[in-house]
Formats: sequence, structure tokens, C-alpha cells
Amino acid sequence: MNLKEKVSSARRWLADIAKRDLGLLIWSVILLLLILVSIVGPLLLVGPNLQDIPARLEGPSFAHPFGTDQFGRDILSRTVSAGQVSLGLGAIITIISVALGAAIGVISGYYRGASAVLMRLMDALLAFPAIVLAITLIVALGSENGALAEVIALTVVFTPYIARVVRARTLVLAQKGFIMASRGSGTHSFKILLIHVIPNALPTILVQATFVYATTLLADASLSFLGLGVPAPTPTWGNMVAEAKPYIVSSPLFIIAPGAAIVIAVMAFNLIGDGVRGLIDPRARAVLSLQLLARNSARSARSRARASTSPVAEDQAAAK
Amino acid sequence: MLGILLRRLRDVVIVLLLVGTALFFVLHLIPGSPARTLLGQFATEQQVEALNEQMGLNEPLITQYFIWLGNVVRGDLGFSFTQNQSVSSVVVSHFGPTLLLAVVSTLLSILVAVPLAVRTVQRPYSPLSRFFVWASSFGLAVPGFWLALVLILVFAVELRWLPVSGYIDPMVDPIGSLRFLVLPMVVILASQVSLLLITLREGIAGEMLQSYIRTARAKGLSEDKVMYRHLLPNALLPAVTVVGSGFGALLGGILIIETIFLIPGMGSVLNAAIQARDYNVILGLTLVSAAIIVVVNLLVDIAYIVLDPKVRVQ
Repeated sequence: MNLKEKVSSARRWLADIAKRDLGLLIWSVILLLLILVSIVGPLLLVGPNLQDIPARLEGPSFAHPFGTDQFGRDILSRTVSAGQVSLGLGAIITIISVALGAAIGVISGYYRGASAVLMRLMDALLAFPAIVLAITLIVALGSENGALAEVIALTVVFTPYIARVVRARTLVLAQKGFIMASRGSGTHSFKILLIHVIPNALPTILVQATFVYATTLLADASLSFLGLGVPAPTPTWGNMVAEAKPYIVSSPLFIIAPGAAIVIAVMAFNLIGDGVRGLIDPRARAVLSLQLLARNSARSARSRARASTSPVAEDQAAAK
Repeated sequence: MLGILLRRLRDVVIVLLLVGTALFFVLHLIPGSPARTLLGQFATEQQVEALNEQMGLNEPLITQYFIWLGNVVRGDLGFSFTQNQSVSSVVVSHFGPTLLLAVVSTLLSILVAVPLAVRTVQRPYSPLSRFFVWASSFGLAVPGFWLALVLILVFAVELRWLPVSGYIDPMVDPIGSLRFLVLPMVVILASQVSLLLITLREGIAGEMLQSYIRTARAKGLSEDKVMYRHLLPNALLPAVTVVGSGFGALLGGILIIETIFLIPGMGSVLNAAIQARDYNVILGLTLVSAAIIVVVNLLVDIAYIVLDPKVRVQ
């Protein structure tokens, strides 16, 4: 395939996605931009901890587009660096809890005996409010350990969210013909899990992973806000909001920048997860597409009716 | 029906036992000495050893577990050194405001979310429906503590319509307490209504494909009647589950919101305990909140039995 064909096929692919779900495309681009900015941004901007005390709590200017904080540090630069910390921590926590949760889910969905023990433990962990369990674990691990304590605590908290969904999917898959055939032909059950169950459960795992990532970002923000996350001066979106709290009146932009960053990041992950789920499981969208069809046909029926001025057709169209 | 309830009750006891056990072992398997942490870095080895002995930390883990379990079963959650009273009495004296916020916000969110969900399914492409769907993804993404601060900035600091923070017991002054409850309630409802709206919308949309809806329409019922008489009773059942499974997030959110609006509930106690590293209070509150969630899920199961004839027959 030459370059021209490649470009046009890529364009067709994008156009296809845009037609199916424009929102998914837009939010994916926003997410990519967020990741790009938090990787490249800190290299281009002034240091997030560069203090300029005389210029403290300034409003937006050319040098500081989002203004400065109580130590005269550039808020834009801190928000971007915080993105690197928060998104990075979120990625680490999500990857570990997805790996652990998928393993636990697949095993407890496939082996009856393991299920009794593992899932009861997962149920017990799910019985706590996520944030409260995270707080308890971090305090027990010693919050002076900062990022490490937070990663361990949130991994413990979010692993059950993955395990539960993966187990449900595995239970369904285990009943499928191809798994039974594979079992009947004497394939080792570990191999069945690895080459049949996990690949088939992967879409479910990935969708759940995006929601867990979003929830991790919110949990990280809350913990940092309470002073249990990564300690200052390293910026995170949560501890920036906590730092901005006393200056909320004098410089509102200080509190708005990190909060808006959290909202955009979490929305991106949630909506991408929703969109991908819609592509995988079209049933969730069925009614909306049926309604769209009905609306379009009603519209065309109305325009035809107007052309022929038949009151009956118009009534029918209106009834829809 | 009584049999189902008794079985559920048995399950509740088992889950609570597991929750407590999980918490106990998770906390005790973590390396590091609570005595050392409590005494600080300047304590001598002898002092640490003495406190270990006093706290029973030298016993085998399994013995410690049964002593702790016995205490918890009798309602003894330990002693708070910062509040100078038992953890149980700390919890009891701060239970009211949190309970009030949780119950009122749950009821209000159902009242708001159900009509909105019906409307967004009936007219999915109207500008208003699009706005609500968009707003609910925003509501799910916005951190409560941040929304609270922004609302305080706008409505309390700039416009001066509402107080910045504080709390009046509604039992003492029902009218006066309302002013203090508006902002916290709005913050809690933002996420709760969004969650309900999104899940209800999916539930309703799924039910729309069922043939009984077609039958109801075919016999000439108005669209509103189809919705509220035939579809909602079926679509509302999942909503009850959502209220149950989302209760943990709701409670967690309330605890954090309380610290911002200075509401003297369990969240404020938790925050104070975090700052002072009062382990017994943190542990006790964690257990109590898990117990609340388990009880709420029991209530949800009971509601299911009452609402769904299919479950009753089984």
C-alpha cells in the first residue's frame, strides 16, 4: 500500500468513527492533548517550584497566563506539572489494579473453589466507601511515604472494581462452546485462560480500566486535598486546590485552573469509556439509533405530506 | 419472605465479619510499629516495648484478632486519645448531620433524576436533553471539594446570598438550618443526580425495546402513560440498585464536603483524626461506614423484595 492509499484509508477510518460517535473522537483528541501537554509542557515552561515572592498572587499576565500563587510560582506551569504527577500516578495505579483485578477475576470466574475465597475478600473491600478505605490504608502505611503509600492504598481499593467485572465476563465466557471444546480437547486450563478467556474479556477490561482511571484521578485529587497524597512542594491537582483555598477571594484563577484540569481529564476518561462501550455493545445505543431513525422518517414523511398536503400523513408523522 | 430476610441478615453478619477481618489483617500485616508511630521518633526502645505490651501487640496475631473482634462485637471501638472519649461516643455524637445529608440527598436525587431521565429518553435530541446528558457527565467528573469551593466563591463570597459555612441542627431551628444546607446539598446532588440520571437513562432505553411497551402503545395509551405506568416500575428497579451500590461514593463525598462546610458530622471527625493521626478514630469510622453501607444494601434488597413481584415469588 503506498502512502496515498494509507492516508486515505486512515481518513476513511477516522470518518467512520466520527460518523458513529463524534464525541468519542473529540474526547480522544482532548485526552491525547492532555497527555502530550503534561509530557512536553514541563520541558517548555518555567519550573513549577520557581519562586518569585514579589510577584505573588498576581492575576493573568503575558508572563503568567494563569497568574501566580502565594509564592509567586507560575500557576500554568504548576497545573501542567501536576498533570504529569496526577496522570502518571493514575496510570500506575490503573495498570497495577487492572493486572491484579483481571487475574483475580479470571481465576475466580473459572475455578469454583478460588472464587469463594477471592470474591468474598473483594466483596469485603467493596463494602467500604472507596475514599475512606484509601484514607485508612494511607494513614496505616504512613502518609510520609507519599506516592508509594497512595499507590498501594488505591490499588487495594480499585482492584475489586476490575475483578468483579472480569469475573462476571469470565463466567459468561466459560459457558461458551469454544471454551468447552478447548477444555474437551485437553488444553491445560491455565492455557485456556491465557489464550481464550483473557483476549475475549479484554474489551470489557479496557472499558472498566478507563472508568477506574477516572475514579483514580478523583480519588487522588481528594486525598491530595486532604493532605494525604503526594506532599507539597510537588504539585498535584488536589494539593493545588488545597493551597489555593485560603486565597479563593483574592485570586480565583488559582483554584479554577487545577479544578478545571481535573474535570476535563475525568470527563475525557469517562466519556471515552462510554463511547468505547457503545462501540463494543451496540445494544446500549439501540434505542437512541431507533429514535433517530424514527425522527428522520417522521421528518421526511412530514415534508412529503407538505408536498401533497395530506392531513392524514401529517397526523401520522406527528404521532411518532 | 421472612426466610429471604433472615438469609439476607445472615449474609450481612458474614460480610460485616469479613469486612472487619479484612481491615484488621490488612492493617496488621503492614510493616511498621503502631507504638513507634504513636510515640514519635524520640521514644526509646524501652518505651516502645512497654507500649507494645500495654496495647497487647506482643500477643500472637491470632490472639490479638479475637480480642479485637470481641471488643468490636460489644460495640467497643477503642479509645480516642485526641478527643478523650471512647470512639463509639465520638461516632454517636457526630452521626446526625451525616445521616441527615445522606438521607435527604438520596431522596432528593431520586425526585430530580427520574423525571429528567424520562425526558432525556423521550426526546433524546432536544437541546434540553442534550444539555442534561452533558451536565451529568460534568457532574460525575467534578470533584465535590472543588465544586464546593467554587460555589462558596460565587454564592457566599461574591453574591452573599448564602453563608460560607456552618451548620444549625434542623431539630433546633428548621428554617434557619436551611440556609446552611443549600450549598452542601447542591454539591452532593450534582454527582448523585448525574449518576442516577446516566444509569436510569440506560435502564429506560433498554426497557423501551421490550414488547410490553409496544403493546401498551398499540392499545393507544398516551406516551406519558406508557412511561410512568408501564416502563418506570420496571426501569426503577435498577435505580434502587444504583442507590445501593453508589452509597459508598455518596458517603465518601459527604465526608469530604463536611470538612469544607464545617458541618459537625463524621467527615469533620475523620478529617480531624487524619490531621492528628488518631488511628482508633480512623479505624472506628471506617468500620462504621462499612457497616452503614452493608445495612443500606440490606435495605435495598428489602426494597427489591417489596417492589419486584418476580423476586417475591422466588
